[in-house]
Amino acid sequence: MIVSYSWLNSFFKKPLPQPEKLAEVLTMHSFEVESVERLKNDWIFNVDVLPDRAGDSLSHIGIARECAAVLNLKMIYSESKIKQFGEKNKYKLNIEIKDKNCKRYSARIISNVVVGPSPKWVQDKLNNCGINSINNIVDATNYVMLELGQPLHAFDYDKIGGHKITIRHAKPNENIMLLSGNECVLDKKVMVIADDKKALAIAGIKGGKDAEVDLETKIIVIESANFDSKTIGQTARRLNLRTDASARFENHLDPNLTEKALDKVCSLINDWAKGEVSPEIIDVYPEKVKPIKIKLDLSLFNKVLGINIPLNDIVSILNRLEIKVVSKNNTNILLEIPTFRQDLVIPENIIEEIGRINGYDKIPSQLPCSFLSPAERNNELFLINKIRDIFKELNYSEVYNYSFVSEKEVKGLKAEPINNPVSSFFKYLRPSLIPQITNNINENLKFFNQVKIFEIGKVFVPEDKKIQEKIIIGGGVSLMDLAKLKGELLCLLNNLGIKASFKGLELKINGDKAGQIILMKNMICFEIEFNLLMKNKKEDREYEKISYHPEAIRDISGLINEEIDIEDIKDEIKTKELVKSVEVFDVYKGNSIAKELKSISMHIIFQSEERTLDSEIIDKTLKEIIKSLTEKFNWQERK
Amino acid sequence: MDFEELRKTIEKELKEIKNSKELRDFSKKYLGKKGEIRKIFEEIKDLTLEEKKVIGQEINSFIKDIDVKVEELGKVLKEDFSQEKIDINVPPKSIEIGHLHPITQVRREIENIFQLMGFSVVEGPEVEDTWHNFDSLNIPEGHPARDALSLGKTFYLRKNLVLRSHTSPAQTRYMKKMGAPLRIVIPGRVYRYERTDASHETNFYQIEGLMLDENISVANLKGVLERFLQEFFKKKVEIRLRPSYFPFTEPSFEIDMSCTVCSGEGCPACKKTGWVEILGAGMVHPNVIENGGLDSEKWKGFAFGMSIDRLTMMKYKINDIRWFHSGNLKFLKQF
Repeated sequence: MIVSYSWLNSFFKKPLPQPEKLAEVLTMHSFEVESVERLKNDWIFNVDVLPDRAGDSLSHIGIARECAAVLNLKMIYSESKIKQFGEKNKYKLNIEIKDKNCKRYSARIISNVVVGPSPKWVQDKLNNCGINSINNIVDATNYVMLELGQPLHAFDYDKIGGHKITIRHAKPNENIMLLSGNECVLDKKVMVIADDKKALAIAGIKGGKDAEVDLETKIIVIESANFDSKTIGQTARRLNLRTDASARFENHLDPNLTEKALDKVCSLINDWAKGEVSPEIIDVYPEKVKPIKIKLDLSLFNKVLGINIPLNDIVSILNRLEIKVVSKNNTNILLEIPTFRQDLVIPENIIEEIGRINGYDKIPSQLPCSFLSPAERNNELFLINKIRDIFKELNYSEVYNYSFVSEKEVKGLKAEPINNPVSSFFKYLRPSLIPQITNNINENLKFFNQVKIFEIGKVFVPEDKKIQEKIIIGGGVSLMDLAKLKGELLCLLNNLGIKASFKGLELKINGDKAGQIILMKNMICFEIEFNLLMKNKKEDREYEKISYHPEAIRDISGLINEEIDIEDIKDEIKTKELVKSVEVFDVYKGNSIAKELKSISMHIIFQSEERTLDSEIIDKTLKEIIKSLTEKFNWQERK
Repeated sequence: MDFEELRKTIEKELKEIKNSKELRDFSKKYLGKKGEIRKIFEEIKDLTLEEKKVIGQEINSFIKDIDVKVEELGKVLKEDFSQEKIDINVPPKSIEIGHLHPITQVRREIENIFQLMGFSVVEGPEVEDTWHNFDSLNIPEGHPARDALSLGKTFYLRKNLVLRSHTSPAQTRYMKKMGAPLRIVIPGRVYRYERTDASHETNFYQIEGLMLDENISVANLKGVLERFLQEFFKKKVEIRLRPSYFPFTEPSFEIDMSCTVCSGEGCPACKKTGWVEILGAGMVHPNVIENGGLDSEKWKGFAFGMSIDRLTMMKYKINDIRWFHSGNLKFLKQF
């Protein structure tokens, strides 16, 4: 909200602090002042009024009330004096509220007005506050809105059909030509101000052309009304019509303000456009809003704020905020909230008021005293961090990609669409990390000879009743060395205490598929399910005895069917006593052996914890190994 | 040269080798691709096929023999640099290790500091229902804050599901799950419908803090956050609270930190004010505590939320938030 420093000053006998100083005070106690600028003979503040305070503070009087409360200053409320009254009940006007979202409708008629330009100082004042001068009638309504916060509207009395105003729902597809010259098609949810035939204004948002005040206008009706904030807010957003009026109505404006605003605007019009004001106020106010009471435990102030504020100070602040202390004893206080502060409803609201006016800077910084319970370890995060570290040790760099992908990147997988994507590149929630990893590698290969990257992130799997979030470990390398990649992934799993193996390109843990390697033209990628790692990880390790007896190594070579998994062969050998480990050092397929076979060569390492092995026992074991391999895998020993 | 003659020379020279440098020179002279022994093959090319076969085998077995001897000798001489002159100005080779994403690193740092203060780290879902994302946080349908967040700021999925627009919905989830007293931080990825630029992203990271106990005050909020910022920036840091508004806290604050670049003197980084806006916080609104299934009369506490991206950008002076999801290794390998 744009605030004039001189306008603020008009509410006080004693001058306010210098503009910069005042801005600082408001920022620390009320609302952030985003800028202070010199403009002609005035200073203009751009005040960021908080949303819950828009009802009382989108006005100069509202900001002045803040100044008064914070600086402990006395405010002057000037009475509005109407000089020229007209004849009583001379002009007939019927008002009927048919939509209960209109909480109050007050109006007054002024006859014999002379529509023309406003005085120069008024035009300047409005301009300084960012509002264009139109004519003395419209300017007067805007002036009062800026001063008191009550939006007003002026109609030409003679243009109101049947001299009857109805506040009702719009008819389906009802049209209105707005003051801005735009035509607007309405629906049933919109509340309108109408005469006996047509809509004259969209309630609380914008006036229409049909009953516009023009240079020929002689008799005017000033509307000073109050509408349900929710209704106005939603309509304004739906129609995409945000106006100065809607901004105020959508945040709990005080229904008791209409009369005061009417008095003020009538006195101004009386001054600027002559005319005679009808003595009577037409006022339809079905349910008068009365001040609410809040009961408060006095100890709550100290308990919540963490500072001791003497009761006298609390009462002084409440007085400055125009909150009435109805009664108090040693433990409780009963307050009556003025109706212009519709944001104050619960005790915590009052605590905030006391805290900010007293000054948050007075609250000490104090670590909590609480039971020394240690933070609980998040096992999932702990494991994720461990995986990240191992990848880093393996010379992988971590990337982050968006959770969004395009249709192209979904590649036929089931993916959840976003109803309102920012662009077609971000249409779906990603079902896999691979397409983005692939892009990352290709992009980086323009600048690097070799790329090794990984990402740990969520993928989203659409299911019937929900969208499943899964943590996936994805990555890829540009070096086409499958054996190395497999080795690195097994190294990762081994470090997590997980026994895993590869069946071709599938990563298996206890027979379950835990991941997949994907071979591509210029890179190899992988995806691993985090859940399975979480399920199978082992943090406890047991020390393995180190034997002092020497190892003995024997090599064997043989032919097996190419379909057989070498891991199965290794596992079989490892079941034999004395076998410590098995290392495959050569796998060969080629012209010299039959097409469906492959040749494997292995080192078998024997060791005993009790004694040095002699060749007799080793040879015996080796024979057993070959025998069982032959039986189980049709192993053909090569000599 | 005659093969026999060469054989004698080689065997003689081999015996005289004293250090690894001499051994290398020897290998280069005789065994390399352009070594003397290979040259013999050139000289025998005019011999008959039979003769070639005989002498060829002889040379090959000699080469094998010398290779073995050189290898053995190499093992013996390996560690002996005493006779050698080492070029101490040799340029270093560049060695690579992997890199963790800067957000990962900063997130860990933040988590560690809070863990040391007894805050457990928990995570919430990224696909949220509208109740947790809005209603549970005292932002009912029709509330201006709801419209501000939901119209044009939130990503909608099927039915009542959205991508969480902040980490706050996890507040009530964990109140229900863990009860009170409660001391947690909730880091994670959040989503906003934004036109992206140097300081706005559609995917970004927040960390939410929540502490509930029987006696928790604004003074404690100040204490915890001041301590956190000091640990994080490794500097004496002052903070100040300004009035603010969030539907899920009351009172609500905007928290400024004294500028770490100029220590509050005023510089371009803090727009000459000496203060930098760093996070939003407040005392948890009683409705939120009730929505978490707890007694709001008994339990009070504070909550705060801050952007991990912003702390990362401040820490490394990164000027464009879009680097984080670029996947560009020129950027990522700097961390």
